[in-house]
Amino acid sequence: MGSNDAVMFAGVSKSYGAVRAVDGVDLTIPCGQTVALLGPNGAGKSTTINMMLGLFPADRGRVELFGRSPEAASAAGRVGAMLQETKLVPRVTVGELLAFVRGLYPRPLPTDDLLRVANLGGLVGRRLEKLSGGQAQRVKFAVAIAGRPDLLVLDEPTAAMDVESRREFWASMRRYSRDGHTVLFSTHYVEEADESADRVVVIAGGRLVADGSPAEVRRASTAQTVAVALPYDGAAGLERLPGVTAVEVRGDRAYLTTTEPDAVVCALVERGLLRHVEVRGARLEDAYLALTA
Amino acid sequence: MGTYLLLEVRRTLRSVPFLLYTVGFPVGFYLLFTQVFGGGASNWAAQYMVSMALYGAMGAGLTGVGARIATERTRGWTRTLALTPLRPAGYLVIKLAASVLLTLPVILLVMLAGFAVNGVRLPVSTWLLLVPLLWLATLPFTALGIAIGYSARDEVANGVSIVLLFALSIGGGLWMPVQLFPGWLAAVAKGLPSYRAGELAWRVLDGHQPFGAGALVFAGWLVALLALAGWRFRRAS
Repeated sequence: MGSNDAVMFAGVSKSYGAVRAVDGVDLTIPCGQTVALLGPNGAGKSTTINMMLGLFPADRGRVELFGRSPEAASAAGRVGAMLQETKLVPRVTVGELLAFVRGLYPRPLPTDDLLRVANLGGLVGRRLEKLSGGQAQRVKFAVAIAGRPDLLVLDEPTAAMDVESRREFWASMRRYSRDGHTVLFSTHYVEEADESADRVVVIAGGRLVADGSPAEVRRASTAQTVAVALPYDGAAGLERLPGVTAVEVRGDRAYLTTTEPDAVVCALVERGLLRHVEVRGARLEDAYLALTA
Repeated sequence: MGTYLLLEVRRTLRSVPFLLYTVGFPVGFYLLFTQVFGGGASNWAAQYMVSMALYGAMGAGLTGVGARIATERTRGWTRTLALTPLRPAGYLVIKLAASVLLTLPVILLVMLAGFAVNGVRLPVSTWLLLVPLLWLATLPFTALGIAIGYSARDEVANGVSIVLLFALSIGGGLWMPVQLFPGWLAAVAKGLPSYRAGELAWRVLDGHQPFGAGALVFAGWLVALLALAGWRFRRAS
């Protein structure tokens, strides 16, 4: 029982002094899912992940990985993780480090597969202190998957990466998750969650505020977008139209976020601003902003 | 585990400061003090040989292991390891084993300098006894290094280890014999683990068996510092 689930949180809370970082979280992740934990800075993502891995104890509630304690799951070699704010140790080559980590696990990834998935081909002989920031992140990813863990946890893995490195990183992640492994990653980039996850869990103020496929989370928000050609005198004043919660100008169009598109369209007609109108459902980004506001 | 031990030893031997402080300095000081101020009894060359070997081995235990643990904790490396099947106790065992292996080069090199340069001649059985004895003598300082490594952040741990290394090695009579100390300082010295650790080896040079009454003081320090290390380790993990 329970061992079909990779992760199980039941009523988990954690406070730092008077601040409740995680507040009564229930979450079950079946094996094989790729889950994005999405939330703004300070929402409780890292605290949730640290409790998931058994690095912080929960004040209340129960945390299980594969039906047992996080420590037991780690000891059995079922967990791999890329944590925030960890640095690699110096005076070791990439190859030596990976050989060491592989040796700790009962069924590690073959070295060739590991180097291919993590995109580390030419770096085997390089000392860790000589790596660039992006290369170091790839090595940390390789350390996380070296033992072929059933559950891979990535805490804001792309935080310090440029656009190209991020694209390559998610390609590596998908190569790993395709083989049936469970992956949980946290991010505050909405498009990463949209593109790379089967399921999005939105956390804000220490609570789960949405949980479903990217499409479901999008629909969970009643926010919609009304787009019109940018008025000749610019976007000034649009944010004061009845029902508009946000205005964004891109190119020659203005995008108005609202929960009452009818009222916004009427107001645009009254002011003679209704040109090339388009009304559509929220992007995941809009849903996310509405949910975490 | 074997791979990790090998990796730790290799990593440490790649550190130029480590080699300089724990191998270069003791061998260099040994030759300097015996060649410049020596000339007298060959007894001095032998006694100072084990003193400097112990000083170097203490350095390996205190700064090579203790401060290293603090650095790895500060960098978050130990948290990464805690998620692998390697348990924190396994990590500690590897650090201890690496420390024991890494004290060997300085002990052997200082002895080689004593034999080859200063013409120290001892019975084979004495040479063979000195190596494990100096290993044993280093243990309290390795335990102290571990306690520091699990208590302080990296720069602090490094500084504290170096201060303790010099305070204990000078205060314990490894740099100049306690016989030259003023009375009150000699009394303090005789309470230190470094003096009692050196005494184990000095007694052998004088033809006694290593464990005299002073060995009880040494054993007391060893037990206390191992307990301190164990407590700090449990608090941290």
